[in-house]
Amino acid sequence: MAELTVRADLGALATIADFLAAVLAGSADETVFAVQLAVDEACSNTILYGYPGGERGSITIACTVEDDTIRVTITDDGVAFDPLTAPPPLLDVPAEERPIGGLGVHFIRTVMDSVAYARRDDKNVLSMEKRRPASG
Amino acid sequence: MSGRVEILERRAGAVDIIAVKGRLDAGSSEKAEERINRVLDAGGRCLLINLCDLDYISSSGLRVLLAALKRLKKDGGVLRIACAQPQILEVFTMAGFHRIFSLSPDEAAALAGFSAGP
Repeated sequence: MAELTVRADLGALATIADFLAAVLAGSADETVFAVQLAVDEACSNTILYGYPGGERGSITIACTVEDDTIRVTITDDGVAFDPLTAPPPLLDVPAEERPIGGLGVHFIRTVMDSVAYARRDDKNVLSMEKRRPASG
Repeated sequence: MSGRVEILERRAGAVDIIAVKGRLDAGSSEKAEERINRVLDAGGRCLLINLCDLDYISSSGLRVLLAALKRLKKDGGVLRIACAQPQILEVFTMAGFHRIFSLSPDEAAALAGFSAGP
């Protein structure tokens, strides 16, 4: 298992993407992009909304690559927040009327095969799985 | 490090072209939004956003493009997006944005679209 801990700061998002690219080297490009997108959206939410008091916590990303599955666990010490309770976005309303919120969670649900949230030891724990196609 | 994004501006006739390169994520979307707003504040009504060299976009990046589209529509302007790579297009599709944005395969096709009208 590979693990990365970063300060909960927007500047860390590119570092997280690089970490995932290194860990997932050898997987199909679409698979790497999908996992990067899901993790980026989850971490962006945490960084933007998880520390309303202004203090900066930390986010740990753990990633395991198995033959047929990629597992990622994101743990943060921000305020309790279950992203999976966000309502689905209104994808069919005109651009002018559409609220943008909820899109990130929609992406996570779309690109990953399973997503689960837990609050453990005062931390948010988001566990996600992505099946790897046989070809990589 | 405020995200790895590079933004280049130029003009072709009445069209303002903004090329966004690298990563458009929550860390870099504010910079992109500022640059786009600067062009619109200066009176730009025909905006072409070139995504040829954009490697990554998240919902934060889409939010910036949507804000530009809303503002231009309100002011009677036109926004066209050129040359989004397959993985970028996939993100547009997941969001349903392929139906609300004018997407062209390359910059020349997008420019031709401006002269053809909105």
